[in-house]
Amino acid sequence: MFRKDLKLIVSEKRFLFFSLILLAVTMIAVIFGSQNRETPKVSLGVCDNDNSQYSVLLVDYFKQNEVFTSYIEIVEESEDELERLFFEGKLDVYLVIPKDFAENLIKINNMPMKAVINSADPTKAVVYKTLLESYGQYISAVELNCQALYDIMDREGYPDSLVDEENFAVSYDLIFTALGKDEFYEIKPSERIKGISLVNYYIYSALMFLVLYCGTFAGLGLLRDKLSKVRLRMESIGNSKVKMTLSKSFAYTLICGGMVLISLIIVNLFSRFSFPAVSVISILLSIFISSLFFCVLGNVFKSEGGYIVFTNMLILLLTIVGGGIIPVMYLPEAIARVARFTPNYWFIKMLL
Amino acid sequence: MSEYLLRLKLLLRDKTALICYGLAVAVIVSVILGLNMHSEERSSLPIGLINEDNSPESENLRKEILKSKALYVYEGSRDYLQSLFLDGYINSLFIIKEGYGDNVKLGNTAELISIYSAEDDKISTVVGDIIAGCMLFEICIDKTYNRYMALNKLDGIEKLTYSEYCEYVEELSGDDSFAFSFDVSYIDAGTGATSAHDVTNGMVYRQMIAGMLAMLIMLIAFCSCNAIAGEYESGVRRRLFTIGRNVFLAGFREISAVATFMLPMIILMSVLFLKCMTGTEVIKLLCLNICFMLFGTLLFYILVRLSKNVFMYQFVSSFVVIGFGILGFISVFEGLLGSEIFGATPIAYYIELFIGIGG
Repeated sequence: MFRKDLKLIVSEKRFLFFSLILLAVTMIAVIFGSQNRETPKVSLGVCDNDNSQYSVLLVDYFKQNEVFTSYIEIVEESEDELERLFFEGKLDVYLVIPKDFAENLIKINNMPMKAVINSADPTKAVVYKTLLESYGQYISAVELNCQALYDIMDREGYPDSLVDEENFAVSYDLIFTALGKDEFYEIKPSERIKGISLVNYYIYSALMFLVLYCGTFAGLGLLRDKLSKVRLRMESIGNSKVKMTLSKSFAYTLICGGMVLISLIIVNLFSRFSFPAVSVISILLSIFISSLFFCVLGNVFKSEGGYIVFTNMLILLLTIVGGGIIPVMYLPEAIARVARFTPNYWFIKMLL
Repeated sequence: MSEYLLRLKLLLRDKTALICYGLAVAVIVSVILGLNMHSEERSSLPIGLINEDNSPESENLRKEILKSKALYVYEGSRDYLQSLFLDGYINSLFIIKEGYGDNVKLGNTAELISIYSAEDDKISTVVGDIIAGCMLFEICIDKTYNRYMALNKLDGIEKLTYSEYCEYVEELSGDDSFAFSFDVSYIDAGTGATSAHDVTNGMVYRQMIAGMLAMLIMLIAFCSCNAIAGEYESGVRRRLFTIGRNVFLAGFREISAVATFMLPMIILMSVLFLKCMTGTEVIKLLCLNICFMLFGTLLFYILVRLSKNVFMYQFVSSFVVIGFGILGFISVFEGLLGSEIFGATPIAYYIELFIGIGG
């Protein structure tokens, strides 16, 4: 019976379609993977019209800071050149440090620093805005505390030369404390979970989508056997429903799972994505469970149309609720709680 | 005209189309009213926070972090937060270490906070930058106070106590001239147009809401054309064309009927945005939704004609809906991924236009 099921699957039209779709998904993953060797850095343009000791120090610090340069690339040019680069799409954001900026900062005469953000991509624009807001907080904290010390020393009658000297020294100290913010943290990377990029997340999500569809094919195959009375004939020669369901599930796992695995090997070879060896077992197991589930579902339905509409809706719902479209951490809390009960959530977790 | 009315009647008696329609309306109402309301907070970065120090300094920091609009903070026991972290519900876990207050007072700023994050995680670096903004005020007070205390005492002048010093800094912080902010402008580098709307956290989430709405429009168009696929399979269509039916005229009328069937939902989908959009923007959104609905209907009508049987139509169409959906959602993060290949898909284009309107 198992061999018959294998032959049936290969000879069906939908198998050809499944192969074509899998091929398309594989090609997209390969093209996308080969395009993105590294996560792109933020291109930040800086025009230092101040050119003071502080501003030069500030720009140099950022250019040399390892943590900062790991995600931001600084381009230092004139304002006109920055504007040209910005409109050519080579800069994501640029800052113009105004003339006498540091001097005015020390005198608590806040001169606004011009920041131009490319709003073409709202997601990136939100990240830049958040970063600029936190940098604004750094400047405010330094400025405020320098002024406080200055005022108190001045009020208590310390000599002007000492007040100025102390003001300069404390400004320097606080600026470098702010710039050295990376020291505030002790980073402990988790050995239990690997960082997952959004690309990988969606690749896993697409993989789960295919796993669920493998299951629907298995269920549809069983339903067709039921509607065409093939199953009745099989039962009359002593084959039980359980045996037929298991045979169908194994056959689909072997063929669809095999094709998915071939695709993964291609993706592994020709793109930067890599799937751990253990994921082979996870994927095959998932396809088998999915096939078994949809075969049981196929037993319940009485028409192909009803089955297809229901399973499509179910897959769509599971994909949305399980974090297949919006990652679980960004889902509303109520939906995120339900996500734990979807196969999509566990599938992605299993591959991590 | 009779073909138009007939198709409309058939649609209103088509159980599959009606169930799909009902479900879509329920989802749309919950998506727009529910998710849109929480878009600001849920677009923030979810992190876990534990305060292991009992000092007023660490409590101040905790309060500042909770106030940050850029972060969505979960608090609780270490086990609970660790399980959230391992289950992917939070991006990283920040622990204010014991002795934080004492160290800050002494001017020691090294390793005050432990960050648990995934290997090679870049987002926690950005979160670290945001939290540093909350820490710096306290750190700067203590650093400057230590410097002040190190100065020689002047005759007849009593030095300020720590609380008196802090009181003065607090008083000074009320002065708006210390609130430094950038003069930010948002310009679309592609078109040169200055953005009329401020960039907010909620924009990320609203792009996803737009993607969901586009998927639902496509889904209803897909279900509405289902019965036509059934007519091809049963041979009804062949019989209709043998009696001289004009293919293009019939197609036009049928597409019009499907569009009429979908119109109430499209109007509802646009009107529900009146809470967060102006009247003009809602009208623009309505036009966008109508255009997208016509595109979806036309697409699935073509797929019906190509498939000519129910199974093939449903199989191909569901891949089209979910496939375009996933590609559309990837396009939201495309800029961060360094690619531009998915921006050309229909749902990605819908999202772009939706945000352009003011979503």
